[in-house]
Amino acid sequence: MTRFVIRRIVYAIILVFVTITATFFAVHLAPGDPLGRYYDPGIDPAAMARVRVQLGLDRPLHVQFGHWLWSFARGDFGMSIAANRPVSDILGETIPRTLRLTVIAFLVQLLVGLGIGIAAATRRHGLRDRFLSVPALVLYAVPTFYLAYLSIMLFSLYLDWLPTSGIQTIGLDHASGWTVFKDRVAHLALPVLVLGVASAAGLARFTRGSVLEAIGEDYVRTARAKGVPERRVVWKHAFLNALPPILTVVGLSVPFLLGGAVVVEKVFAWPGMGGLLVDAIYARDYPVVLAVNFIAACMVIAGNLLADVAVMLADPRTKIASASGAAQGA
Amino acid sequence: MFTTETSETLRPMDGAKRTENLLEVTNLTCSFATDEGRALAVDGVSFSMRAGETLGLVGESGCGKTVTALCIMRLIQTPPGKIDGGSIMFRNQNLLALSEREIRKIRGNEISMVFQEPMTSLNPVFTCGYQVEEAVMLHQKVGKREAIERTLEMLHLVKIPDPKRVAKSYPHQLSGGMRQRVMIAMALSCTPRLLVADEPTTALDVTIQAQILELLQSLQEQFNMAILMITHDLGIIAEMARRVVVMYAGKVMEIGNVMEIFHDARHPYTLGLKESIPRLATKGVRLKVIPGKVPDPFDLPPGCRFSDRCKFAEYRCDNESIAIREVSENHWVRCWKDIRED
Amino acid sequence: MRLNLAVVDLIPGVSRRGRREFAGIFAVLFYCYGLVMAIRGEALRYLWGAGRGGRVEAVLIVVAWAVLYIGTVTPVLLGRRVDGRPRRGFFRRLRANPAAVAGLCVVMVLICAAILAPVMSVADPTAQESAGITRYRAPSLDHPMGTDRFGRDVYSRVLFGARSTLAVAVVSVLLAVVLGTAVGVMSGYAGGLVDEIVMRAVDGLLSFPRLLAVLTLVALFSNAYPLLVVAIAATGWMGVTRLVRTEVLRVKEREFVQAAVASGIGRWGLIVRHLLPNSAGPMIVAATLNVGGVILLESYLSFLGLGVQPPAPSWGAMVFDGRDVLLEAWWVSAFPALAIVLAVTACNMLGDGLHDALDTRA
Repeated sequence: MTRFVIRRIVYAIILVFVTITATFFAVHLAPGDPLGRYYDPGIDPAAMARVRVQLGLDRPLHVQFGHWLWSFARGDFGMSIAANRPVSDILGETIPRTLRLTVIAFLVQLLVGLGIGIAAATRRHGLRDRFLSVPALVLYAVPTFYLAYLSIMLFSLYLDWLPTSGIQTIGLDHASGWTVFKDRVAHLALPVLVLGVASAAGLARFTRGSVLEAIGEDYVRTARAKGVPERRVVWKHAFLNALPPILTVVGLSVPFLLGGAVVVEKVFAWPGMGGLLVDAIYARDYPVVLAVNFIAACMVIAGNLLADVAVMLADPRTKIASASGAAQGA
Repeated sequence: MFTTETSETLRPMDGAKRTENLLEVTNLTCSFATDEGRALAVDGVSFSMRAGETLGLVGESGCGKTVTALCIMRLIQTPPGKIDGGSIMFRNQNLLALSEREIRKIRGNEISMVFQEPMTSLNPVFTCGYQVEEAVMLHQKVGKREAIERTLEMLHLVKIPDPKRVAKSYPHQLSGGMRQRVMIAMALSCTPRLLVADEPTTALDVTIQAQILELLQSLQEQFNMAILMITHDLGIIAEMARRVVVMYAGKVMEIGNVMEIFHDARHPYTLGLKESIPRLATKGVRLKVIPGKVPDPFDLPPGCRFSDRCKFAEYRCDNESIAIREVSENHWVRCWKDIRED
Repeated sequence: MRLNLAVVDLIPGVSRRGRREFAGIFAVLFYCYGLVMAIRGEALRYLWGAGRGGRVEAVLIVVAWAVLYIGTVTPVLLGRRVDGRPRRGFFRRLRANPAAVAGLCVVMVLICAAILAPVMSVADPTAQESAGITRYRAPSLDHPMGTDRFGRDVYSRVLFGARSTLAVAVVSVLLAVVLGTAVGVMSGYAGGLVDEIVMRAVDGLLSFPRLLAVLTLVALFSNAYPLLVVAIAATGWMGVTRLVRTEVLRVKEREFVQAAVASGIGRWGLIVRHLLPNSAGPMIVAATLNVGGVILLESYLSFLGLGVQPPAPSWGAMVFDGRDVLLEAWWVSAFPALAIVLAVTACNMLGDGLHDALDTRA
């Protein structure tokens, strides 16, 4: 068990290393000089060369790579060109906001996706299945931003229940804690709902499929033959078997959630990593672009790591298999 | 049509006009919806079983043996399957008329089933012990501790060498024979009156097969339960069963005592089945096979279902359907062969 | 094997057994649609040679109709009963799945729409009529889907949008499949350390959220058409690699491959004759599902301003254009959004159907 987790962590570190390498080479393969934006006819070529030496750009690629690696390892992502501040400071502000959005959306996704998937699977081809599966199929194909605009239309403009955008009403800083909290929740509701429901569609489809598959297995028939009540057959015998692949898919949903967050943050003017990335791309602020990518990749790797561990806990077969695998590897 | 034998003696505890039969299947019909239309899997099957006896249900794969068993357990999934008619009387109540809640009290308690595939019939995410316990706890008012005790006792009874270890293992850690023993322990944990064994040894090695059959036999004596032994292996029938039902393409072709079936089979299909058993004694003699194949369930012949493969087939066999009739005491046959044409 | 065809069989929607032929019904529906649209777009006049009569357009029409016919009718024919017994093949299973057939038909219609865009459209998609007069016109006979902010005809733009969207999606998926297959086969065939390194690299690259990765690549390089396609392909090949590698590893252990090796087949012969064909099924499924994913991806890129460049119409950008007038001029965003939903849903349903019909694990 611990062996398995350690193995997975080592594996995750290797993946982080791969992502750093990929980011590094993306920058160096890109056309143009990192100093290109400082070029100015009036600038002294000698000064330019000094800066080049200062930044280490004159050294061979593998030395630069070493430096880059070392600074990333210390959490130093360089200076933002557009904001002229350390990238890590900017990330320190935006990451918590994005996390707030994505983590809650993730929970919504879990709840809605699993619920709908199981509910549809237990009434296969019935009315309930159709009422749940068809919207899931369509939602899966609707561009998130269109869904977001439609929901703003409905909930903000037509019903006037929720604010259209932002993270907090301007000028509310001095209100009481409870009012601020309520205001923040109201601002959070729509983005979370859109992101969560949009991602839930895929999960619901997958859950339905794997629960259906499990319900068709021989051991479910055995459980029924024992006289186990139908609800328990579904939740205990079928669902627990369908769970490992579902957990894997939940882990794999993290990159989609982060991608969706970029879009949703833009629609709702949510000042998170997504907005930061888009702005940085327009401003050609490469250090920020790369840092955001790197952080996102780390979140994905962490998500997969957690999913792997969860799968192992849920499935006795992998428990044994991985233990023996680890023994062989050692 | 076929009617069941009437009772000679009544069990004292039962009411006045009741049969002594444990199970009476009458005119059972079951069909499945497919892309091509409804397929009749079981068509008017009738037979009966007494308490404590072993009845063999024989036929090729796809003849409706398993579907019959699932009908008795009420485990036909609807849709696509549907029990279209007939009755299944078990201890004088019609299983087909029971509510889902009522049938659940019988399943695993009074009627249990052992399936063909021990590899896939146990739930991979629970320990074997838990799966037996679950059956005990569902039907008996016992606590967790007693259920565990009962489980270990059952595992011991099915001759598992190290019950405590096996109870803690997951199915994938056990061999096929062991798993089938666990399945049997699970099925017998509530001392059922009827055990439906659907090809319990087909997926096992020959040596393990013999052990499992022997085990079933000894447990049957111990618990005084009836066994409905479903198989395509006449050898198993000869060893285990007292009476035999031969099915073909959803219909019962012949019913009789095992001795009569082996020495005085009347139906050409039964004869064919018997001839296709390989024997050591007749080494060198070519094995006989029944020519042709099972009819398309969507396109059943109007007469006898076996007519196009039968070497005795004549005109009426192809065109007139035939009722099952009693040729000697307790020996029923569905064939035109011995009936004189009027 | 006798196909046992009758004239009736060639007419979609009619079955000799009187059973519902989902494929046929859909095909007929879409033929009607195509017919109406063709009349609307004066396609008949092209065919008859009267009026403007462009030869190119006539060829386009014939090609598109042939594609529609072959794409929708072939599965129906091949899935028919032969000699009263159902065929137990791929096409039969596909035909038995109405969702898959519907998906197939919609995909076919979209391909036809893309081919026929110049014939079926009613106006130049980029032509801005005198904007003051024709902007935000509601759907009418002249403008079946209304007009947008610049007075451009939305219907024509949706048709031409199918061209750019499908061009991006299909080409990038093809590229990704080719690249992914090449790497996957090499990795699976080589095994050992090479395989280990390649797969770790693939896992690492898969860790980047795709949208973010494409945005970054597009920002670092360019979002001109070919580079956009390359960027999308560059972030999409890893999944194919994993899939193909798994298949290759599985097939490599099979008896027929070992028999082929034993009979002295060369490395390339083994790869081309055995490993590739046997991993074709999962590849096709993945490609179909991927096309849907890339259509969505492209719409997000367009939404963020980095997709297909204006004035070329793109569904994503069109939806984005209509965001401020969702209530007043719903048609500006609703029709392109509907096109996206239809296209992606169709790809998903077809992909799922192919997956079931190919039954890769059996």
